[in-house]
Amino acid sequence: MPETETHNAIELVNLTYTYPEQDQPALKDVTLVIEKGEYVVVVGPNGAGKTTLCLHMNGVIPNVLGGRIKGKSEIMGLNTRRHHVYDMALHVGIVLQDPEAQLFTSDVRSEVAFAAENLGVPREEMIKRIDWILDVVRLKDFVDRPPAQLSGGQKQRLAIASSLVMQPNIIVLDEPTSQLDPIGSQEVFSVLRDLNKELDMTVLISTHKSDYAAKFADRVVVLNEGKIVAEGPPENVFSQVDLLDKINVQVPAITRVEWEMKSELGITDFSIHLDETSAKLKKFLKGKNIVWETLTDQEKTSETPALGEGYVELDQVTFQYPGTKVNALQDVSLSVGKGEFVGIIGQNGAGKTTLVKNIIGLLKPTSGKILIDGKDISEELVEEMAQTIGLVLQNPDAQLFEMSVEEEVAFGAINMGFSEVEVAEQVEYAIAATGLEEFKENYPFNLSFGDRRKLSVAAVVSMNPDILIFDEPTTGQDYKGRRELADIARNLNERGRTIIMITHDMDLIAEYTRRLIVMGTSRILVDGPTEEVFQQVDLLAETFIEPPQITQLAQSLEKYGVPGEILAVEELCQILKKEMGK
Amino acid sequence: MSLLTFIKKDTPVHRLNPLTKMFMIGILWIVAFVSANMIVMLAVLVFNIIIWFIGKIPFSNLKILLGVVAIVGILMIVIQGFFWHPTGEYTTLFSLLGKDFLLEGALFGLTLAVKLLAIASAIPILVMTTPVSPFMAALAALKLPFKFIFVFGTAMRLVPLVQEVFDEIREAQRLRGHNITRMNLWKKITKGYLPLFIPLLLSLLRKTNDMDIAIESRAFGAPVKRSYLEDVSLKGRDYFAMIVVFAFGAGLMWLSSYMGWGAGVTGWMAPAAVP
Repeated sequence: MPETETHNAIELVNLTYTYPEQDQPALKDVTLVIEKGEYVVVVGPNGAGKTTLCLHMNGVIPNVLGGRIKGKSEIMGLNTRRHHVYDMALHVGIVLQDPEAQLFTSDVRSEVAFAAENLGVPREEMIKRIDWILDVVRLKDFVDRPPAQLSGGQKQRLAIASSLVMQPNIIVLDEPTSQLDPIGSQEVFSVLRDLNKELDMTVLISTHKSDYAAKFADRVVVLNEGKIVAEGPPENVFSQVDLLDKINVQVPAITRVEWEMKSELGITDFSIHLDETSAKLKKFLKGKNIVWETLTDQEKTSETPALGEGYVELDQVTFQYPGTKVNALQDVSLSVGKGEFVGIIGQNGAGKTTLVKNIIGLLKPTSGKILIDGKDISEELVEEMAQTIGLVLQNPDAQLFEMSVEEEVAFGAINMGFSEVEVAEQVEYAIAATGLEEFKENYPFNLSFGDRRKLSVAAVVSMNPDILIFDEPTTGQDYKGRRELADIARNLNERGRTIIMITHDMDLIAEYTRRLIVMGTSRILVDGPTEEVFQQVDLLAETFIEPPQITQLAQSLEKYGVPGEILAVEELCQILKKEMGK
Repeated sequence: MSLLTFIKKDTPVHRLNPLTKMFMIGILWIVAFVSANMIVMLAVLVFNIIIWFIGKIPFSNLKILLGVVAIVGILMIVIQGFFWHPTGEYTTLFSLLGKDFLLEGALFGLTLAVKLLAIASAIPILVMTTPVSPFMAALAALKLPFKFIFVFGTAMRLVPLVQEVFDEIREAQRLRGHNITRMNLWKKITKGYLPLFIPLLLSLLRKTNDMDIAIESRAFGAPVKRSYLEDVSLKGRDYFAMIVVFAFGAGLMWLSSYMGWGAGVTGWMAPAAVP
């Protein structure tokens, strides 16, 4: 083994890489040196080259995927061009984005064991490692489950465990938390932190979640269009708000608060940690008491929506998957009014997707009743309900098959039996509502992932349903992509559609929804106005959720009169600036 | 495909080592192949059904098996009834279009059908009570190369995987008002299948590509001696089961030689074969 003690963990020098049959390089002149034991997070918009960078780390590029490569690429002192992937696997574990594609055995235990078996780890040691890692990723109770029967989040954690079992020197994770609940995501980052500290494991993660990057990384690398555009300690990188805004990388809410308040606070360095920002603001607020109650009482009466008035009505709905003994939904009662914009949050496996599949008729309740616009849907076929209620599924690629965007959008409308004129109208409306006008003639799979998601929304909108359900519209989407989708939902809501949105993105929920339903295991824990729900910190923690960062910051300042139900950066800054103006 | 998928249960059959189960099936197959004696073959069949019972293998599967074998069996009886060449005495039951239907031929066809059933009913004893991973470990214990075993294991996974992807796609298209069950054959062919099979094909292509990366990334093919999580050492119960099956098989072989192997016509119905 050519390993020497002096080499870095990762050493890319002037690396340029072009995929086979492509003209434009996916990585341009990238130089990135990572020392052993560093914890590095890569952020950047979709298409920036994050996945490509990750696939270099164990030689999948160029050994498996081919392509043209220039420059130096050495991992643990091994030249990736000269070593096979299994050689690299002794040093580097890699976790890919799509968890399903990397699970291929019959049960959780053998999935985790696979890599250790390939490396010839002795059986006793293997059992120890498997027990440890399944505990770490909260999958201990699922050892005998086939991976196919796990929820999206559980699959993602299993994929991580399957790689960690190799106890590699370097672990590379490509968006490992895109389907995880907030606390689940935090746990992944934090477990990797522990491994990094205890085993001196070098960690490289690509993510859209800037909050966690800020909280856990030693170093943050910002990629855009295949180039590194910023790099350094997280506080330095995230302080470059103008740059990050320009390339659509999310700035942590607390950093943005400091940046917005820079002249008032007289600061040039911005913090990335909640407690630091909180301390700064506390110092500033000391002796002051913000009086805001009158203002919000007024606002409250005008803004708080009336809770549901029976457009979608669930009465004591219980659901059990065939062949199981556990209720996936337990006595769920719920009422959503016409024109509402409702968010549903909850830990992985809480039953959110099961709930909406019952509402839409893909699953039929074991007991209880569901009424849509006063009509019992127990006998209705999904195909017939599509005109009333549409569901946008998580994976856009499971439905695209036409040769152009326009035809794809028309498919549902034609199935609804609309006349030719109506179809044309609906297609035009749906394409305009999702901002896909310029891609009308394009082949769907030539669109970016974000645009394919928009297309899957358009494909449902064209059937002209009154109610639209979005199941995790943010999965795998960058900051810009998720806001664009949420904007589409908001626009449709403003045009009278009822919107139900399931997501793990608390910032999005805070910004877009007025009413929030929190699900715990198989039941509804709380249902109310979004700002009030986020006050129930303990209850949320029960279902692995924490309020958005900005709300947490506001809550830490409640003693000084800052309202704890703040949901947006601007809101808090407005209050603070007003106070400073006094 | 439920005939070939593992069903998780805790029974003495599930607890047996896969190697033991392979040994059992081996013995039962040898007996069923070698002997054409109806009593012997029925004994194998009854033995299999008893193991099904102990292993709580759902009898609904037996029905599927019986259905398949019944079709093949009827075909065999008809074909052998008409085309079997008598070597000794024979009984004509009836004639059709100048061709005689012989009792002995029909009985020979029936024997073949029972043989088929005895052989086929042994398969679920292994496949439906053994998860894929211990099965693979057992194959490895037999010194088969791991690459071969892995292909086998992955193929076992492929059926449910394709099914999963297909279900997801069908769900997505139903949500767009696409209902293939309500289409006539012509419409199914022209309009029904495309929205299901194009995404299926594309999804599987993408998935296999990703899977390739994932498999390699997890050190598949590393130049070290592979270890196994599954413990495939034999326990007391395994020896016990093997002895029982071996004794049973040997007994049946002796019975065949005593009563007649069923060579020529069918030993069991030729009194001359019994000394």
